[in-house]
Amino acid sequence: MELQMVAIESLTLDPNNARKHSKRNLDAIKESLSKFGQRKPIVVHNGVVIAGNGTLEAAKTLGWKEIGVSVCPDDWDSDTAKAYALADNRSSELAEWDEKILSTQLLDLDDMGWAIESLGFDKPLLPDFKPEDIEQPRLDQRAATMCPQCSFEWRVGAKGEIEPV
Amino acid sequence: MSLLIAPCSFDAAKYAVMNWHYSQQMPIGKLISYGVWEDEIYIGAVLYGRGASPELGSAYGLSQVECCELVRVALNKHKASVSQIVSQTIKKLKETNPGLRLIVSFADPEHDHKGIIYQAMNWIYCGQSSPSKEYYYKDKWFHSRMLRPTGFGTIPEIARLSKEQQKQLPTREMKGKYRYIYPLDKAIRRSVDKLRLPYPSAVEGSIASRDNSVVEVQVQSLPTALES
Repeated sequence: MELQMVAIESLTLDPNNARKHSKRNLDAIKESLSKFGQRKPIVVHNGVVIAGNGTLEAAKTLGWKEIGVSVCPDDWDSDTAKAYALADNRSSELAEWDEKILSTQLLDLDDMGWAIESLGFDKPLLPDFKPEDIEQPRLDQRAATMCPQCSFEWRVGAKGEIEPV
Repeated sequence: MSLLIAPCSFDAAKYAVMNWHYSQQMPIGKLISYGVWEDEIYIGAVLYGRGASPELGSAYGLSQVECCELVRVALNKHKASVSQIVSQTIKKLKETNPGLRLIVSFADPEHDHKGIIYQAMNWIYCGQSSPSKEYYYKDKWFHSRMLRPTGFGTIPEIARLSKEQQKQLPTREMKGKYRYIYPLDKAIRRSVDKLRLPYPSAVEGSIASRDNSVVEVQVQSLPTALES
């Protein structure tokens, strides 16, 4: 794979990009570029971006002049480029989050002062359970039994005796 | 920081166990569940039950209603020490269950737990329970007692398998768990103190120190899971 820095103005957004970027999505990419810089190249075929259109848009908004690209091989035709663009988007879409690990990591980052929203996530909510005035079972008593005929309630006592309840 | 320990709902206890305890399994049977709140935020639960054996107290001359098991300490990140939290739940347990005389708990060496919290609270260490065998069935490991046709903890679906089918299940040997006990009155303390053994060391080859509690709590608190 050949990586190169090219002038942003020499690149064109894919007019047929099947993937739409919402404002929230672009904001998250912008935040990521600002915080971490560009860590992955965008993919270009004949001057048109086929993977990383959101990154290019965000970089333009940030006023960047250059961006890192990976240029497709010369022998790719437009169908191959189209197939790659779809596969690239779809393959990441098919991955799933491990919700438990995700929420633990987000809470950790939140604790360390990271703005979770700027990474494109909603702040994970901790469960809002309240103390409850509920009767807990007794572990120092056997369960009571009620006679279905006379309603006499009893349990077996500590020494095996019948103990009225 | 305010710390509140109070009875909590089954749902709250289950949430804590499923999210913050390594077992991700609610114990079966009668349970007393105490929720833990720090600065009014729910951070977990401490659960007591009758335990997996009806003979839990017999080794100490106690009946089933005089002895219980600390079955789960399932905490998210917390500021208070686990010892402080568990101590407060024991105090509440004694108030509402005055007939209880002893608490038993187990630390699982399979999960690198040695029971440092119990050591920090001066529980009595009584040695390891017998090793056990687990059977693998439908993506889960099951204790051998769950395969018995009847009795405590039986899982009917596996118990119904023929002996031949059970023999074909993958198995694994599990180390015995470290057993700790906590007497709740002076008389029982006097009678069980003779069972006291030196604590298993926190780090192989070293002597257990109460200071190690901090280390184990931190290790276990992502999410915190003090097994029992």
